[in-house]
Amino acid sequence: MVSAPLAILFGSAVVLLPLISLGIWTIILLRFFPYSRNTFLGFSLIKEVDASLRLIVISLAPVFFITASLLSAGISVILEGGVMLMFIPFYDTGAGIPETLSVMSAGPIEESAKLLLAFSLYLSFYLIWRARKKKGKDGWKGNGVKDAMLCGLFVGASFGVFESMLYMFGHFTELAAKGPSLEIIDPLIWRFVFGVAIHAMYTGIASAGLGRETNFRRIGMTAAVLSVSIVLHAVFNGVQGLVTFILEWEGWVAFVVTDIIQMILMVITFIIFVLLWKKGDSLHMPG
Amino acid sequence: MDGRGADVKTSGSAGLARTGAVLIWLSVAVLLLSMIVLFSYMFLRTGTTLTVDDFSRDPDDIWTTTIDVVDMGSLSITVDSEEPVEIELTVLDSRGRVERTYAQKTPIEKEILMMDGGRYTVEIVMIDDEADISDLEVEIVSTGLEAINICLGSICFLGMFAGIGLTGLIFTILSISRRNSELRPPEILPPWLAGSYRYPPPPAQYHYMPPPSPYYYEGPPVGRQHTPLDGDWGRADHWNRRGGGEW
Repeated sequence: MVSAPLAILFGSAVVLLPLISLGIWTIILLRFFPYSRNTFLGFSLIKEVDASLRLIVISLAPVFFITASLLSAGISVILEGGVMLMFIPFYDTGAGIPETLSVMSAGPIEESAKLLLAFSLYLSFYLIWRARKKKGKDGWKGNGVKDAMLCGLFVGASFGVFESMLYMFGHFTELAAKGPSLEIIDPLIWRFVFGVAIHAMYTGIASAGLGRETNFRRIGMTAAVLSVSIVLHAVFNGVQGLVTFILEWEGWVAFVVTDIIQMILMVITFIIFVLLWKKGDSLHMPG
Repeated sequence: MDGRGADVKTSGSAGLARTGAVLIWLSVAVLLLSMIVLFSYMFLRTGTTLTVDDFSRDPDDIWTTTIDVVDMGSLSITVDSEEPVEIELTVLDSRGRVERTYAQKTPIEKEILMMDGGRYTVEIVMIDDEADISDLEVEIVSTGLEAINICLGSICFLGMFAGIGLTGLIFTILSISRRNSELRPPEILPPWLAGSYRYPPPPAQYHYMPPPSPYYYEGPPVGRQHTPLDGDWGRADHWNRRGGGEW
C-alpha cells in the first residue's frame, strides 16, 4: 500500500509532468522558430486583434486542445485494441515477431488519427487566417506549410500529453509496487523529456503537406510526409519490440541500446522537421 | 481581422468573452485537479502484495495461496531464483477454473488483467524435484481499483468540468455572435441585432492640433479661402488630407 502523501505526489506528477514538458517544448518552439511566435502572437497578443477576439482565442485554445487529445487518442485506442486482439492468438508463438508488429502498428494508426484531427483544425483556422494572409498585415505573410505544421504540432502535443499521462500512471504504479529501478525510471524520464515532443513532431511532419497551394500537391506531399512520419514512429516503437521481444535482451544493456537508437531516431525526426519547416518558405505561395 | 484595428469598440462582446475565458480555464483547473485526485486515489488503491511465505503446501504437494482482485484489476506475478528452476504456475479464478497456466523455468514475470474480481488462487508445482519453494523469490501483487468508486468520482468531477466548461463555451459562442454584430453597420443587420453595433471612434488626428511651427507650414490648402488662421492649422490640415481618408 502507498501512503497518502506519496499517492498525492505520484498523482500530481502523473498529471503535471506532461504539462511541464509541454510548457518547456512550447518555449523552445517559440524561441527558435520565429514564425510560430508570430502566429501565436497573431492570435493572442497582436495589437490589431481587439479584446474580444483575443479572449475568444484564449477561451477556445484549451477546448480545441482537450477535444483533439480525446478524439485522436480515442480513435487510436479503439483501432490499436482491435489490432492487438488480432495479434494476441499468435503471442508466444512467433519468436516475438507478433508482439513487435503489434507495437509497431501504433505508427500508422496514431499518425493517421492525428493527421485527421490536424487537417480539421487547419481547415477551420485557415478560413479565418486566409483574409489576414492576403492582406499581409504588419508585413506578416502567412505560410500555409508552416501553418499546417503548427496545427500538426498542436494536435500531436495534445495527443502526447494524454498518452504520457496514461503511461506515466503505469510507470508510477510500478514504482509504487516495486520501488525504484532502471526498468521504471528510464521510461519515466523518456516520457517526461520526449513523450510530448516526439508526438508533436511526428504530426508536424505529417501535416506539412496540408498547406500546399493546389489539391494535387496537397495530396501528393501529404502522402509522402505521412509515410515518413509513419515509418519514423513505427521504427521508434519497433526498436523496443526488437530488443524486448525478439532479441529478449534484459537489464541495463537493453535500456542503453534502446535509448541510444531511439535518441538517434529522435534527432533524425527533428532534422526532418526542421528541413520541412525551412523548406516551407519555398514550397508555399501565400494567398 | 476586420481591418479596423484596436480602436473598434467591442465592449459588450469583450465582457461575454472574458466570462467565457474565466469559466473555461476554471473548468480546465477542475479537470486537472480531478485528475490529480483520481490518480492519487488509484495509487492508494494499490492492492496487496504476497511473497513466498504466504504459500502453504496442500496434500498433493502443490503450493497454494489466495489473493483478492477487484473487478478490472490486474495480477502481477514474479517468480525468480538464483539458479533457473522449472515450475508450473497456475492461476485459478474464484470458481476454481484455470485462468492461466505456465510451465517453464524461472524467471517468470506475468501481468494478468482480470475483468471479473474475486478471490484468485495461485498454485506452484515444483517440477524440478531437487528444488524447494524456499529457493524461489515470489512476489504477487494485485493492483486494481473499485470500479464503482472510480465511476462515481469520475462522474462527479467530470460533471463539474463539463458543466463549467460548457457554460464557458456558451458565453464564448455568444461573444462571437455579439462581436460579429458589433462589427457590422446597423443597416445590414436584422433589427434585433442593430442596437448592439458600436460605431468606431474617429481617427485620432481629427482631435489633434499640433503646435504651430514655421518649419511645417506648407501654405493654404488648395480650394480653400486663405485666412490668417490657416497658418496655424496648416500641418493638421495637411495630415487630414493625406491620412484622414483611410478610415
